[in-house]
Amino acid sequence: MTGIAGEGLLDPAFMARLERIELIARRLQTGEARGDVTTRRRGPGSLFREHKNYSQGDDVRFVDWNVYSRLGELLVKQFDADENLDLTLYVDASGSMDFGQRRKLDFALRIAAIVGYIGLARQASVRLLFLPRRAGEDGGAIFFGKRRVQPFLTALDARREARGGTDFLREFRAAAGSRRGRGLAIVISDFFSETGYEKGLDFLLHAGYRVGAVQVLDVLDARPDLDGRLRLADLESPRTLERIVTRRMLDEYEAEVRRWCEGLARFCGRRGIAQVSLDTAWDFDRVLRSLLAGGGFAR
Amino acid sequence: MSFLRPELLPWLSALLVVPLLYLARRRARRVVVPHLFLWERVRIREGRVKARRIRDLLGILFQMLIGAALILAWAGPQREDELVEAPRILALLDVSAPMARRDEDGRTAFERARARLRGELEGLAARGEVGLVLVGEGLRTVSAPGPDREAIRAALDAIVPDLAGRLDREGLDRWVAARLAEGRPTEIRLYSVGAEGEAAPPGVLWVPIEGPTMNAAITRVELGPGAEGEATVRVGLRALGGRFEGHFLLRDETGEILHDGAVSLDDGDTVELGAPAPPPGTWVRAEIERDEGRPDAMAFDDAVDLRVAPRAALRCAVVAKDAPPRLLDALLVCDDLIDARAAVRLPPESWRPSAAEYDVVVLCGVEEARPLPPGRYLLVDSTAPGLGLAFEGRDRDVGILRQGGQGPVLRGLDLRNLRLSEARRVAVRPDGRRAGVRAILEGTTGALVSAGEIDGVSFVQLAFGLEEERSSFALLPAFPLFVNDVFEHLGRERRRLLPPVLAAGRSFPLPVDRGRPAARPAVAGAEGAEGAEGERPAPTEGEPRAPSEVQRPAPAAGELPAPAEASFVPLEAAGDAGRWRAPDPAGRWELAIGDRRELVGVARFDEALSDATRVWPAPATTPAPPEPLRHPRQRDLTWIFLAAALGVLLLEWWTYHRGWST
Repeated sequence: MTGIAGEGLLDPAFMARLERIELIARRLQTGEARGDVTTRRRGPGSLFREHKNYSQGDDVRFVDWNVYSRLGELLVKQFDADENLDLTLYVDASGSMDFGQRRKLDFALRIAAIVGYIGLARQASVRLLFLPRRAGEDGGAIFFGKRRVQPFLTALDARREARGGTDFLREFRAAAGSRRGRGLAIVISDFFSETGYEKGLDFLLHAGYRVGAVQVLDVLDARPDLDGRLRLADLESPRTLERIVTRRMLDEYEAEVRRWCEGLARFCGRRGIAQVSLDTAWDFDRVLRSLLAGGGFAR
Repeated sequence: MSFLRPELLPWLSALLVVPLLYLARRRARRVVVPHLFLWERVRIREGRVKARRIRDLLGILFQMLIGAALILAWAGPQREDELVEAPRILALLDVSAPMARRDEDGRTAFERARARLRGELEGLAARGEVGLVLVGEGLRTVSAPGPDREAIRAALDAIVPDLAGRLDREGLDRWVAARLAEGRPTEIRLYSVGAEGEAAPPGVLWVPIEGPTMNAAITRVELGPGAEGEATVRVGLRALGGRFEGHFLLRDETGEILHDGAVSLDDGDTVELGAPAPPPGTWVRAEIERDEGRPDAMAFDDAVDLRVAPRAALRCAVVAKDAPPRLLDALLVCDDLIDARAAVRLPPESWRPSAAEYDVVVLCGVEEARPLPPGRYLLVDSTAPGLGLAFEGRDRDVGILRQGGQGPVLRGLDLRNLRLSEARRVAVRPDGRRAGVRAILEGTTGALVSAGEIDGVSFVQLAFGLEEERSSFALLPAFPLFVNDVFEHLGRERRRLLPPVLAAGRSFPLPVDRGRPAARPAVAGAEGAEGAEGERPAPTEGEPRAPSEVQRPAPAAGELPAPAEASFVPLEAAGDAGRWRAPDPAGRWELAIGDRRELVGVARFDEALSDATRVWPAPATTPAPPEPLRHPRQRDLTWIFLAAALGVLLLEWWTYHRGWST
C-alpha cells in the first residue's frame, strides 16, 4: 500500500477516492435548511447529541416524551447545530515541507484536498491559503460548492514549491486582517517553526475560529539518515551548522523532535484544538480515518 | 606462499582509495535539514566525537583489511606444502654368532642391541611404522610394520635368539634391495656389532652396538724364564664373547712370524701361552687372530707391540730401622739400574757381614761407631768415622748457601730451594779434602750433600733425613733422579746384565695389513683397502706411545700401588685398580682385586697397546638413513582469506553496531 503523497491531485484515482468521501459526507448530512455542515455547537440540527434535564425556557417541542412515559423524567433532546460553515485551509508550503522520504508538501496538499473536498461537498465556503504567502495571495482563494472542486484542486496543484520560513502569527494575522473569524480554520503543517506555533494558533482562536491542526510528519523528520561529519543547512534560512553526527546524537535529536510534537499535542489539548498527526507513509484510508475519528473537525 | 594469479596483486594498491576517501570525507558534507533549530538544541559530547574518530580509523583499517583479503583471495593464494609419506622403518636385529659377545656386565651384544632398539622405539614409532626383522643365517619377520608400539615392544621382548651361525649377507643384500625397490619410503636399520655392520648393504643404516670389539684380548704379557730357563714371552689371552678359535702370533719387525700357536677358547676362558723370546733389543708384536671363515668372532683381534730390552742392574741393600718410603719408591723407579728382586733390607746391627754381596749399601739414620768396610754407600742422615767428615750435632732452620758444581750426583738438579728444618752440622776435614771428599751442597750448617772416596769407601752423604718433617727433598721430582745418579755414580763399575725385559710403548711399522684380519669381510673403501699390503702404522695408527717409564708411587706397609701402566689391570677389573703386593720369586707381582688374587707381570706393559677396550668408529661406508619420500603439493588458501575477510567484516559490523556505540 502506497501513501497518498505520490498520487496526483488531479489523477482519476485520487478523484475516485474523493468521490467516496462524498458518500461519507452525505451519510453524515441530515439537515436541509440549516446548512450542510454539522458543528459541535448545540442547537437546532438533525443529529441527536444528548439529553439534558428540562429547565425553564427550554423548547417543549424537544422534550423526549418517550423517556417521560417510561421514566417519568422530563428530558430535553439536544442536537448538533447544522449551519453553513466557512472553512479556512492553511497549507504550510515553507521550506521545511520540501523534505521527507515522501515530500511533506505533497502530502499536505492531499490532506487539504480531502478536507476541502468534504467542505465543498457539504456546501461550505472553502478558503485556501498557503504559508508563507506569496505576493498577491493575501486573502487566499475562496471556493464554494461542489462544482468548484476542480478549481480547488487545480489551485492546490499549482502550489508545488516549498520555500521560505513560517511565522504562523504573522501569516494568520495577515490572512485574517480585521475580519472577525468565522467557521473552521484548519492548519496543515509540520509545525516545525523556530518562532513557534503557539501564538499563531492562539490568534486564530481569539479571532473566533474553531481551529484544527493537522501535523504532517515524515519518518525522516524524527530519524534523518545522517552520519559522519556534516554541514547541516537549514531549509528555511541560510544558516548552517557543522556537526559530527553520531548515533547517540541522532537519538537525542529524535527525542528533541518527539518533545516538540508532544508539546504541540499538549498545547492543542489545552486550547481545545483538534489535532492529529499524520505520517506521509500512510495510505488514503488511514489518513481519512485519522482525520474523521482522531481529528473530529472534518465530520 | 604463491598465487595462481599474481597479476592481480597490484590491485592491492587500489586499497589506498579507502584512506583517500576517508580524508575526503573528513571535509564536512553539506546536508539540508528541515528544522535546524532542533539540531541546535542537541548537545555535543566531545568524548563521543573522539570515540567516533577512533571508530572511523578502525573502520578504515577494517575496510583495507577486507579489501586486501578479497584481492588476495581473488589472486588464488597457494601454500607450498609437501605430503610426507610416513616412512616404513625396518629394524633388523642381528642374531648371528658375533652378537653373543658379552661385555663386562655379562650382557650379550644382542641384549644390548635389543635394549638400544627398545630405547629408540618410541622415537622411531613417532616417525613411521616400525617393523622388526631378525637377520642371521636367514631373515625372519618378527613384527610386520605397524603403528602399534606395544605390539612391537612385546615382539621385541619375546625374541629368544640362538645367536649362532653367520650373517647371510647375500640374502640380506637381496632382501634390502627388494624392500628399497618397493617405492615406499623405507628406512632400514641394522642393529649389529661392527663385524658385520661394516659391510651393511647400501641403503641400510648401521646402528653399531658398542662394547668389546675383540674376539679375544691380550690380558697380560711378561717375559720370564721358561721351563728350561730360556727367555720366554708369556701372554695371557681371554675370549671376550662367544667361542674363539684362532691363533696366537708373534711377529718381528719385518712381519715374519716367530711363533704361531693355535688357540681355542670358550666364552670368558683365559689361557696363558708361551713363546720363545726373541733376542734382546728386537721389537715384536704379540697378536691374536681368529681363523679365517669362522663366523664366531668379531672383526678385530688384539695386538701388543713389545720390545725385548736388555737391562743392567745393581744389587742394593737398605740398612735402616724404618726405611723412608720415598727412598724405596725411588729405588723401585730406578729398576733399570737397580735389581729390585735382589734388593734386601738389613738391620742396622748386623749388616756388615753381608755387605760385600751388594753393590750399593744405603744407610738410613744409622750412626756407625766404626769405619765403614770398603764398598759403595749412600749415607742418609748417617754418620761413620773415617770419611773425612766431621759430624758436630744438629741444627734447625737450615738455609742453603751454595751448590757447588754439578758433580756426578746432582746433574741438572738445582737444590738451592730445598727446605730443611733440621740437618747435621757436617764439615769436610782437611784430610778428607786431600782424599777427594767435597761438599756438593753447602748450607748454614756446613756440607749438606757431600761425596768422596776414601780408603776404598765410595760414598754420597746426605746430612739430613728424608722424612717430610725434616726436609722436602724426597718430595721433589728431582729425588728419584738424584737416587738414579747416585747409583749410576757408585755402581758404575758394578753393573751386570740381567735377563731382558719386555718394553712396550713404541710403535713400529709393520708390513702386515693388520686392518684385515683373516676373517674380516672386505669392505670397499674401508681402511686398508688401499695399499693394504704396504707399510702401514701400528694398531694405534701412528699415535705416539709413551715409553713405559714406570713411576710407581711409594709403597706403604709392604704394598705398592698398582702401576698405572699395567694395561690389563683396568681390563680385568674396571674401576678397581687393586693393590700390588710383594713380587714372588719369579718376579711377578700379586694383584689383589677384591677377593681375587692374580699374579701378573710388571713388565713394561701399556694399556694403550691393547685394543681390547677400543670402540671402533663406524666405517666411512655407513650409509646415511634414506630420506622419507616427500610429495610436493599446493594447498589452496582462498577460503582462508575469504573467511578472514568475512571475519573482519563481522568485526567491523560489531564495532559499528554493537560493541562501539557512538
